Amino acid sequence: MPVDLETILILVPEGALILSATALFVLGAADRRRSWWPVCATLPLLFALVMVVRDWGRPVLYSGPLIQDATGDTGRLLSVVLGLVMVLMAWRQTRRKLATEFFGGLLMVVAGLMLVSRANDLVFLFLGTELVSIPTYMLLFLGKRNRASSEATVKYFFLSLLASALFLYGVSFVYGMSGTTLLVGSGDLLGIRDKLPEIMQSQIGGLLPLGLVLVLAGLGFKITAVPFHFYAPDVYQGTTNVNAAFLACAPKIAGILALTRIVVNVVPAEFYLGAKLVIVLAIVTMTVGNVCALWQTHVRRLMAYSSIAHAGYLLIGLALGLASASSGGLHGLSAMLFYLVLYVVATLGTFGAFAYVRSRGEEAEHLDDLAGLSQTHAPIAAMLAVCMLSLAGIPPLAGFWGKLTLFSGAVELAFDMTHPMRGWFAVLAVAGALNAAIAAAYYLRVILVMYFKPPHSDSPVTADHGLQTVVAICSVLLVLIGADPGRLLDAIEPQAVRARQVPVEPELGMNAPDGEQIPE
Amino acid sequence: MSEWALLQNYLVVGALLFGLGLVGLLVRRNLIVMFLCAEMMLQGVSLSLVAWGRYHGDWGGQIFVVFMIAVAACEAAIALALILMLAKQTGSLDVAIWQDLREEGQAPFVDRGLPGHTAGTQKWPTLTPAGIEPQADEDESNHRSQI
Amino acid sequence: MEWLVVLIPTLPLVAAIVTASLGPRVLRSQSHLPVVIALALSLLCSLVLVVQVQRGYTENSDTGFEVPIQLWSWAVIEDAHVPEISGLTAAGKSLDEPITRPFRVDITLRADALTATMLAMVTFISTLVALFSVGYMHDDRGYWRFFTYLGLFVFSMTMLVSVSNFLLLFVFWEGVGVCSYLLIGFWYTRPSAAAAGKKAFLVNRVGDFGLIIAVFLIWTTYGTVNYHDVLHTPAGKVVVDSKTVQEAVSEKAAGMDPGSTLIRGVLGQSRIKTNDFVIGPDGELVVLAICLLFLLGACGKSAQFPLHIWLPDAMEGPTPVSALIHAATMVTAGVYLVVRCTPLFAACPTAQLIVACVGGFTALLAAVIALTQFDLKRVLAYSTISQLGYMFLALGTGTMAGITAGFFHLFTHAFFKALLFLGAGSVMHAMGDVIDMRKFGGLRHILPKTHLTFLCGCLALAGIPLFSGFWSKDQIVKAVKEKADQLEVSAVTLADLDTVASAPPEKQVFTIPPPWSASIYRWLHWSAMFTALLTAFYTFRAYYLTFWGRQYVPEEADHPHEPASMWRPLAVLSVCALAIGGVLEIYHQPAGYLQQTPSLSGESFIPKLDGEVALISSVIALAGVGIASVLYLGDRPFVGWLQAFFEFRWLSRVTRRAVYCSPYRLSSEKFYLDELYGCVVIWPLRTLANISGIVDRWLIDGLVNLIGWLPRFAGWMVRSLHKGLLQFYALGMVLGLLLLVLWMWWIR
Repeated sequence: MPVDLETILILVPEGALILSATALFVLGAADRRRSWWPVCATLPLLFALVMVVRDWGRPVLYSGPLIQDATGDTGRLLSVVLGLVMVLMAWRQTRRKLATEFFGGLLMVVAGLMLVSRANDLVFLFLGTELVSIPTYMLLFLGKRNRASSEATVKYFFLSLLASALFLYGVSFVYGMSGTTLLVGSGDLLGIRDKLPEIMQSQIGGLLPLGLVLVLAGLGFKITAVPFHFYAPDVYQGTTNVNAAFLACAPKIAGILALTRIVVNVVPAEFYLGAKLVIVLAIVTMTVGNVCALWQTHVRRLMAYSSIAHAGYLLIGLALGLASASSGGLHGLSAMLFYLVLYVVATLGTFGAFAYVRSRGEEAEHLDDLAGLSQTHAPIAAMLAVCMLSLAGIPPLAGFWGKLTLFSGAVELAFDMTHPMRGWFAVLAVAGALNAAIAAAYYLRVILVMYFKPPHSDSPVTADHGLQTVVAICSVLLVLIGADPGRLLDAIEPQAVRARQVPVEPELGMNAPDGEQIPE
Repeated sequence: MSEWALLQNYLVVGALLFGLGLVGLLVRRNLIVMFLCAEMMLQGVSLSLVAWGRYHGDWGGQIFVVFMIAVAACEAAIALALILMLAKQTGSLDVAIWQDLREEGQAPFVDRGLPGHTAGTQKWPTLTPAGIEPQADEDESNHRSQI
Repeated sequence: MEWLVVLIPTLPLVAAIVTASLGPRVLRSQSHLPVVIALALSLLCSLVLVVQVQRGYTENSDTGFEVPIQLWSWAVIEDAHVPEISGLTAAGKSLDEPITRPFRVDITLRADALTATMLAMVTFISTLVALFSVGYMHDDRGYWRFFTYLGLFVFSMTMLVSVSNFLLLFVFWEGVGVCSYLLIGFWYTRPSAAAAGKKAFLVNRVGDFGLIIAVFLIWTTYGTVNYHDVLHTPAGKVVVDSKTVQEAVSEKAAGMDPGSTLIRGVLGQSRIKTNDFVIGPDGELVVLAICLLFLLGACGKSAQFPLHIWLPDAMEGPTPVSALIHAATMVTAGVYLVVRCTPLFAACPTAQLIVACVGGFTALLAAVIALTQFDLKRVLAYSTISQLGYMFLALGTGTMAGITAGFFHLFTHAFFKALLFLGAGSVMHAMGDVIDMRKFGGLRHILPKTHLTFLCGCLALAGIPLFSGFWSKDQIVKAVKEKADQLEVSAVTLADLDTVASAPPEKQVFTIPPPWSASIYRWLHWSAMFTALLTAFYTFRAYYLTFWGRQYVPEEADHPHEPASMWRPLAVLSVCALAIGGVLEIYHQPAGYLQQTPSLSGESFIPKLDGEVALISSVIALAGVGIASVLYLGDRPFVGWLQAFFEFRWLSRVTRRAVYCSPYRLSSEKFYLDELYGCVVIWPLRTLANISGIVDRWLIDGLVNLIGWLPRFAGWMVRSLHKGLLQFYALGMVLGLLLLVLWMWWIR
């Protein structure tokens, strides 16, 4: 299909990011001073932020492979903010000689995330996810030059490759059934979503479950869903705290956004098989994550299992989105996006605090390195405690509202007498509640160590104001959102509602990418 | 031969390629071979995509394949650089040496018995069977500083 | 008058708070100052209040005099109670009672004759005890703590007698219980003191349980827990002033409709006028239940059989506490409660009979136990139980004579018992905290002032004519005798009229026929006179053992002395013990004054001194003193012989083992009641508790631990998958994928 100026124009932020990244890679060879490359990385991010904010809430803009809609807006904003926060975290934490590569890679990833959040085409989706993955391999390798870091990179690289292959194979089935790479069609141009209902009846319709499982496998790797989670603990443990923060957020955002695009938008409403699959994945994921986290003494490994568990909670939202599609309820999707935002904020704060704490000159690794933090660095300890409590879902904090919206959605469906899957959701709600209880144990253990164990004699900190700022912003945000969750939820809710709306006609004057199909 | 039967043939071959690559990825321990196996999986996917595209009479599949090849090239570049670095670090391509990161208290995987040497006169060029020290001859090691 | 009633409890509370906050750091050895000053001021206010109540009564003397003072609302639940039946009687109809009633707990105090008397007595004794404690407790480490508790106790006690609401009554009932617990266990490092405090508290809980159930019953029966009437005006105002309420009632009766609704209080004037206490078909049963539950509560607080066992142990506390709380004031709370609820008890003769029986039996039992005790304070403790039994016996007659007599005895007893206890405290102080009468003797030269004042107390307690105990005890005996006579007469009349047979059958169930009750009261009369003999005997036995005979002191007494701060209160109290009964009796004050209370103003009655009863009482008391003098004055030749006789030593010589149920052993071992409770109540409960503990520790905790352990176990299982080898991970992913595909194929 022809690509015109409008389509190019709506890609301006992404393009700017990629160009800046390229410039960084090239120019980085000339100058190795760390102090000023972060600024160079910040500028395009700020530019992208301005563009995204300008586009926020604009009417749905449809241009074939790209769609500018509500999910896209939310995802893009989240991506750019993540990029900015990561720059702040990495400002002093990257190795001086590798700063340009690191920040360039970071910009690439942000561009990839922004592409994923707007993709309306399998090819674009694939490109976006790969644009997230490939720089990630690099970032992982850049973090530390030791055995553990190398091992983490190897594991992530090969398993990610495997996951990509699975995802692509699943995509090939999806494409094969529908005969188009377009996800949501417009006008005469039919997308997969428009064709799937009739395909379901045909002989090749039976391939849909296979394709769905494979796609879920590929994207499940990104969001660390069990059984595609194996890499996470090892990789988090092997890499630096900043990289771990990045790994816990960026792929998860990409995965969730891609799942929203490809699964929720595409799968027909009556196709409950998908919801069942997601429910099973959700229950297994959160349970495995939580029970394994109980045993951990390594902070990043603990957080890896925690992030696995949170992937399980996020999948609840996906299941809700799949199962309530027919009844038009989009509670699940907005709850999932809401939870994703809270998770990202709390995780960034937590890893920021971990990075801030040093033990014997090294990064904090063992849980005991945090011992007595409340006495040596009271503010950081308090803020880390806020993040932990929010992740655990303790009431006044933001995390509680995230869990509440997710679980209440499940409970709502469980009590909906007409819903064919109410039993499944009842089990899901119970499992979620039990898991929240289990999870409290290890989050509170971190607080226990910080507040009730005597401090080590030597626990200096990196005098890193960037990290301090990040941790402070995150914890304050958690408290504020906890105090008034409705504001954020209200901002997300209509976005999610619009996510399923598809323009039958493109907005007048905004674009005419497929003008030949639309009668003038 | 009907379109449908033709498609099935292609799909079976694609699935076989994918499966072969998968099995290879699972059983081989040499990093390079593992990467090649992963590439083979992607080729299986490519074949499927092209076949589906032909079946539907749609160019999308072929375009997808073009992009896939491009991405695979990127990945190959990264992979080879990575493998080179790792080999420089450890002097080995065996993936089994990378198992320091694991759950506490779990026993590492240890070779029970090494696979026997493949008999044959020709020793070079071969890819070293995983799990054993590569036996480079003297000249070779003098000639090249590292593997 | 309002501010007086508020001020009396507030002053001690403020003093307690001040002492608690400033005592340990600032006041130190002057910690008594706030409390003593506050108590003295409270006493002053109480005396003024007594006079003002008298004055108010003379101005308005038709229905009795009461002034409820509403301070603020504690809890209001609108429309909480819907009476099963409207319960409107002739007079009630004159003013509409609301269909639904709010559950209102207002902080309402009241001023009437009963309250004023109690307040005066409590503040008077507590002031003197506080003064005494200044000398007795000096140099104690918990000096400030003692006075804090004391202030808190006086606050609770004054509130207890001045609140106008059963729920608040319960609150402060518990309040004095807590203070008692704190003060018994004041020397908490002594295990026996801690145990005694616990025992007192637990035994009291049994009674409190009865009390709170009774309050529930009152709420469900009468739809209010207030004593007083409450008028809800159309403007939404809540009026409690009895005069206004009565005016509204009469206005309504006169046809002028103020549109107000009236909630008749349980002991309010409207209800008393119509004597409307039995409500509904099971009304009799409910009233009986309320009365008996109140009696249970009163038994706990006033140490009546079977809940009397805590009081002797409570002597582990400091002696001034024993004097104040466990002899003079707190233990009379039960008596106060029964007097306050006289209209309720009057509606249920069976309950009255039971009260009388409990009282009479307790009086006798405690007197018998007191005969053989060697611990001076224990003798006094049992004598307290015995005297409280007298009071209940008097209240149990249900006649105005009996009630006024019981209350009169409460009043006089408070003075002389406080005196005796403080005297015992003085002895104890001088003897280095030794209180066993076998370890000292002949102290009349060492402690002359204590000796004299103690003698005054003994004379009063023994009921020697013209001392205060004589007058009140005499009235009690007379009231019981009159009740028995009266019942005999009515029994004869009833038998003549043959009305017993024609009475409605359900009435018979709860009413004991007059001939029976007449003979029961007759027996109680005899037992009361016998108890009087025992009282005189054991009182003077203790007196002689302590102050007469050969002079010797224990080793612990290093410097026997009587500080002025201790003997001066004793002197004041001994004057009261000698005179107060006679003075009041001569002016017929106790009965006349008490009848100004609305709930006691039923029948007008002027007590007269009955010559015959007085004579018999005097003879009995003197006989008791005489026996004690013969036995314990001089060389005491007969004591050992008598003891051997009553111990059935001749029998044990035959059987070659000690006779455990000989009269002497029974008395000295307190009829083995503690052991009995130990076997019947404590041991089964302990066993049950142990079993529950084992179940809790091993079964419940085990289950909880198992549940807590399950996730860890699951984690351990899953952990073993993370072996670290890349291929294992890839295999895990692929196998998981295959499982999912197969599962989807299976469920589709």
